[in-house]
Amino acid sequence: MLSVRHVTKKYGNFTALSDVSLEFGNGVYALLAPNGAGKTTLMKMMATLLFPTEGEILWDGTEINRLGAKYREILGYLPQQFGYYKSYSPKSYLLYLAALKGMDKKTAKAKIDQVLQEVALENDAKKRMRKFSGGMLQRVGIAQALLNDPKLLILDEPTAGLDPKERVRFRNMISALGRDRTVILSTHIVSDIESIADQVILLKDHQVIGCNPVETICSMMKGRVYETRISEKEWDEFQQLHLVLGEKPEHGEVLVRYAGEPGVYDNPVEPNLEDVFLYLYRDEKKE
Amino acid sequence: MKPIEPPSRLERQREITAILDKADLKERRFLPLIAHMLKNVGLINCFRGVAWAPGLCLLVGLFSWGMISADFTATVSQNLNFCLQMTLLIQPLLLTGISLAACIIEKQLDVWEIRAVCRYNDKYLLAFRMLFMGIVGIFSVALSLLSVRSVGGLLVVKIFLASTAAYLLCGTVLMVSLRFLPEKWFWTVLVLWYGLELFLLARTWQDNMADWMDGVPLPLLIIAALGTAGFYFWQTRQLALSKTNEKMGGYWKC
Repeated sequence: MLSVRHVTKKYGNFTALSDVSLEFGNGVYALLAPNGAGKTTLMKMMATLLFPTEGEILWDGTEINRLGAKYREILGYLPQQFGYYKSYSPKSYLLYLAALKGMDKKTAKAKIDQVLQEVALENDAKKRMRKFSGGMLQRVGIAQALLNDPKLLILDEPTAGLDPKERVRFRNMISALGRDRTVILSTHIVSDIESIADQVILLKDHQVIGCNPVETICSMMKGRVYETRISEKEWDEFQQLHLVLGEKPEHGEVLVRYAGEPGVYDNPVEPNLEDVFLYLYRDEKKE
Repeated sequence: MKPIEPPSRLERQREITAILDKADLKERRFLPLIAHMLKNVGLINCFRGVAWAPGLCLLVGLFSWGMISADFTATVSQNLNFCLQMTLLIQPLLLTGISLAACIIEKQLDVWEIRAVCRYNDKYLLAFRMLFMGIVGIFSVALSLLSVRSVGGLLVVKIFLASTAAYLLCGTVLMVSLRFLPEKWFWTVLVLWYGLELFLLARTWQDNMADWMDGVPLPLLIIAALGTAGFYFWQTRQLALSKTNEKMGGYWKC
C-alpha cells in the first residue's frame, strides 16, 4: 500500500502542492485536474524523482527514499515527457531498460515480446523509433513501465497522442492490471478514466479536494445539470448567463448541456464526470 | 499489571525493514554494488548515449602528446614548460568538460527520468561513469607525458602525479557541483572554476614551471595525488549512495 502523508512541495515562495494525504491500495486511481494543478509534481514525488518539502510517502510503512532500489524494483513509471534514443528500436530500447531494471536477459526477452504485444507494437519491434508517431512512442513508454511487472504503476498523462482505438485498448489493459496492483494515472481527459477508475482524486488550488468513486463524485452534481434546445440567435446570450458544459449544433438549433441550481430549470439530466470537472474548474477555465 | 499490546502491522514492518537494512551490505558498500551492477547491466549499457566519452578522453591525451611533441625546434625546457601547462591546466579542463558534456547531453534527451526509477538508476550509472572516466583520464594524462619521457627520472613522475591531482580535483569539483547545486548556481560555479584555471594558465604562461616542479618534494605530490584520488572516489560513492543529493537539489533533478 502506498501512503502519502501531509505532503507539501514548495519551490521558493511558490507552493506546488499543499498538505496532500492519500492512501492507495490495489485498484485504479485517477488524478483529475487541469494543467498546473500539481498532478505531475505529486506523481514525481511518488516516483522518487522529487523530494517533498514536508511530509512523507510510504510504501508498506517504510519511507520510499529509504527503501531505495527495493522500491524502484516494484515501480513502473511513465513520465509526461517520454525520453528515448532515436536510433534505437523498441526492442533494443526495452532490452536496455530491462538491464537497468535488473532483469536477466532470458526473462527480459520473453517479457519484452509480451509487453510489445500488449501495446500492439509487435510488428514494429525492430524499427527505429525516430520514424514513430507520437502515439507509437507513447505505447513504447507504456511498455517500458510494464516491463518489470510492477506492483505500483504510475502513469503521467498516458493517453496523450493515442487514437480512439488505442485508448480503448489502453483502458482495457489498465482495468485488467488494476485488479491485483496499484495503478495511479493522471489525466485531464475525463473520458479516459470514467469507466475504469475505482477512485478519482480531484486537485484544485494545489490541494486534494476529493477522493471518491466516480458515482459519488457525479452525485455531487445531481439535479444541477440540465439540457435544453435553443436557437443559434440565443446562443451568445445563453453563454453569458449559464455555465455551459457542452453544446451540439443540430439543424439550426443548439442542444446545450449546462449547470444550474437544483430545481430551477426543467429537464435535469444525469451528470457525468465531465460535468463535474467543468463545474469544479470553471474559474480556472476562465483564466 | 498492564496488558501487553502486540506491535501493530506498521511497527512490525518497520522492525523487519531495519533488520534487513542492516544485513543488506550490497546497498551500503559501493564497490560490490558497482560490480553487481556491471555484471547485470554491462559496460556498454552504462555508457548508452555517451559511448564517445572515454574515447574522446584518450583522444585528448593524444592531442596533448601531439601538441607537446609538435615543436621540434623547442628546447627540452620549453617543451617541459608547455607540457606542464598542458597537463596541469588545460587537459583537466578538457577532460572534465567531456564528463560535463555527457551529463548535459543525457539531460537534454530526457531519458534520465525513465532511468531514475530503474533499480540501477542514473545515480549509480553516473557514479560508475565518473569512476571509469577518472581512470581513463589518468591514462590520458600518462599518454600525453609520453612526449617528455626522454627527460626521464623523477621529474616525469612528479609531473604525472601533479597532473593526476589536478585532473581529479577538477572532477571532484564537478561532482560536488552536480550533487549539491541547483542549476543556476551550478553554471556560475563552473564558470568561476574554469575562469580560475584560465587565469592560472595566463599567469604562468611565461614562467619557468619546470624548475618550480623540480623544487616540489615528491612525498608532497604523492600525498596530493592520493588525497585527490581518495576524495574523487569518495564523491563517486556519494553520487550513488548519499541520500542528501535530492534534498539539496542536484543539477540533474532540475
